[in-house]
Amino acid sequence: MIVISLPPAAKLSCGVMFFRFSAAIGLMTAISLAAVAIEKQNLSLRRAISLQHYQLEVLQEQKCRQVLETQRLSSPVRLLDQVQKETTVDVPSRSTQSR
Amino acid sequence: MNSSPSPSNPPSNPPSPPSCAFAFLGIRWSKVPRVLILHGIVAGLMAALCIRLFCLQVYARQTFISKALRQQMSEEGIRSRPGDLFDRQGRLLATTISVPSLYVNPAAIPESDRPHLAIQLGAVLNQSSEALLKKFEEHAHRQFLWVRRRLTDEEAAAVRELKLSTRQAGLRREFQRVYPQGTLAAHVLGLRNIDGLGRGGVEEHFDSILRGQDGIRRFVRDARGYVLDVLEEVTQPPVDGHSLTLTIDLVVQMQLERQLDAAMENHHAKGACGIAIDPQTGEILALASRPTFDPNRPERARPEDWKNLATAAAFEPGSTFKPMVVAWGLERNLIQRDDQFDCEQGTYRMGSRVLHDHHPYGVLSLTDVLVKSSNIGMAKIGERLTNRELNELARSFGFGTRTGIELPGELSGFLRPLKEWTSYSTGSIPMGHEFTATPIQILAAYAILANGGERIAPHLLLRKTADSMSASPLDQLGRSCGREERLSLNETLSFHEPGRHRHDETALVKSRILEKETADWVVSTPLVEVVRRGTGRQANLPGLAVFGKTGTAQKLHESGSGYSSSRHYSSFIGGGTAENPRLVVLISVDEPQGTDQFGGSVAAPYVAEVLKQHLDTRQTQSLPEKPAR
Repeated sequence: MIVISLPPAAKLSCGVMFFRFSAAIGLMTAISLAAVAIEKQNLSLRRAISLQHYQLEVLQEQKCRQVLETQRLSSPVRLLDQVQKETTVDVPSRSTQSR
Repeated sequence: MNSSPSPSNPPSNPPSPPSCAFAFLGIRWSKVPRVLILHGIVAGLMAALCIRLFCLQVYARQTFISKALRQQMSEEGIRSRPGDLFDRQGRLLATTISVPSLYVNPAAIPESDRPHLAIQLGAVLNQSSEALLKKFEEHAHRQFLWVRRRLTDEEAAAVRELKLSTRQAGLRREFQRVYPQGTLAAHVLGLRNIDGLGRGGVEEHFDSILRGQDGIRRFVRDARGYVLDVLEEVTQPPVDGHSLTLTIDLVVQMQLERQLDAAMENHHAKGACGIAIDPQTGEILALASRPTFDPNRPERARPEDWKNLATAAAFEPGSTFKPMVVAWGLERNLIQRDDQFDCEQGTYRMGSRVLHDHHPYGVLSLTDVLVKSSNIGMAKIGERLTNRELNELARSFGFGTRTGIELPGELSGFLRPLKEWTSYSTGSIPMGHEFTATPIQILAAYAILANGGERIAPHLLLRKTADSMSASPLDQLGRSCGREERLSLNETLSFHEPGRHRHDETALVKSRILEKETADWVVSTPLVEVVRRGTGRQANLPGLAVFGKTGTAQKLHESGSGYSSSRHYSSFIGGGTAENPRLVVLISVDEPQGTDQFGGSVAAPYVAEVLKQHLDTRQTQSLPEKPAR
């Protein structure tokens, strides 16, 4: 078996290279992880915005329908018809009293 | 040593026949290096490839880019929400809601599945499955087909329950216009058709303002058509339409329409129309026509229901034109207030023509000429004015030109040029014959008399409100909540102080036609007397100085030759109060039936009812101010 013994300087240089290589890998991994995290964050924010837009549309639609219903219920035709009906019902009793 | 073979000694190894491709060139196989040939072939192929690539990348670049984009990208329109319509008190006249519509992709439905899908949808939509199947088969090659638009909530829920494949069918949301007041003011509002386009009324006139601007959403799709991404950065958001506040007062509108319905029923008329205007500002408070339609159910309308008689029907104004002639004669000093006119006991020869009055009259004052509506008296006034003045007065009061009201299809009426007028015209024009006018033109002319002599264009737009999507949601909520209060407050003010809150778009343009003194005298003297003791007695309201004028115009025969004695257009225009006119109402009834077809009987009582209700309301509104004084 052949044993290669490196001189101390070469040993040091190999360690440095290994360190540099590991650091580069680690840095790349970290950057990739950070990019993934940012992308996920971006996606979740876009989802949230999209959801808010949807909720806004739903709320606007609800508001429109409620305003519509309110206006239908309070339309002059409906209210005055009701008032006239009540008046028509009341008139005979009043006239009876007056007699 | 000669190594060359002698002819006597043929070579032992004769040369084999050349077998390479270059043999015919006389080049021996051994002399062409194979590598070179191979290089040549490869180089040739590479060159061909480069040329092809160049063609693809340079010459056909745009074609392929557009092809790729077509395959990958797809666009979808985002419909803008149309703006709402309000009356002057902030009551909602028209709004928009979102409703689902059902579509299918027939190309994605296998032939064997079509009957099953048709049966399923037919059961849910209460529609014939055979008809649906036929529809699917007729459009089998298409990728989009509406099955039914604007489903009810129940129908949409039932369709969702079917859990249909999203490739084959789906629900798409569409906007639907809703008119919460039903048939009220239908001819003013018009409607929006199934594609969201304004048709008739202010919906058509202000379509570009109300509709807004549609947006675009772009998708990236895969080969199967599934959406991979929505490209937010290139999406164009929709701009919602502006909301409009009209000058219409829904309560006055309702009262007017009820009176029109009563007139139609009592006189079995063919049609009727009514308009109410604030003469000081030109604001139309109510406008209606009969027959009418329900804008929520346009499919039920008959063809004649669409016609707005108030702006799109022209007829001879008849006696309603007479006050304008009197006012113009006074203005030009051609007649005087205390003039007397001999009405010739009902028969007057004017050139070759003999004029008649309904009743024989002797000498009448200027006021009584209008009170009795004497044709002979008016013809004599016409003789003093001459054709030139009569033509100028008709044009000055706006006859022969559109009023410019914001409704489509307005007619200009028919007023011939002066050079075509004859001596006949001198007698006919002062009686309101020989020219035609729309009810809105006649009312606008009366507004000139009622407001002291100024011509103001009648209009329907009070103000344009802000774009609902330009603000944040919270601002929108705040604004919409506050809007109702602000409008009602403003409107109370603007009702009493004309034009105070007027938007720039509807700034008043006035031009003086008559001196105030002349206009006020015509309104406060002859026109008040018409109602007190003349042809318009049925419009008299005790305690209120109502002014007005009747008109009964004969209609032409259907053949077009001569006037019919049985078909009339009966009108009454009345206003109140004579001291401070704030409301002028016109009601015209087309072809009333019965023995009495005069405007004083057919239209005047209904005008009086509108005036009474409105003037009562105005008095009630002003009651709280009295103790402070």
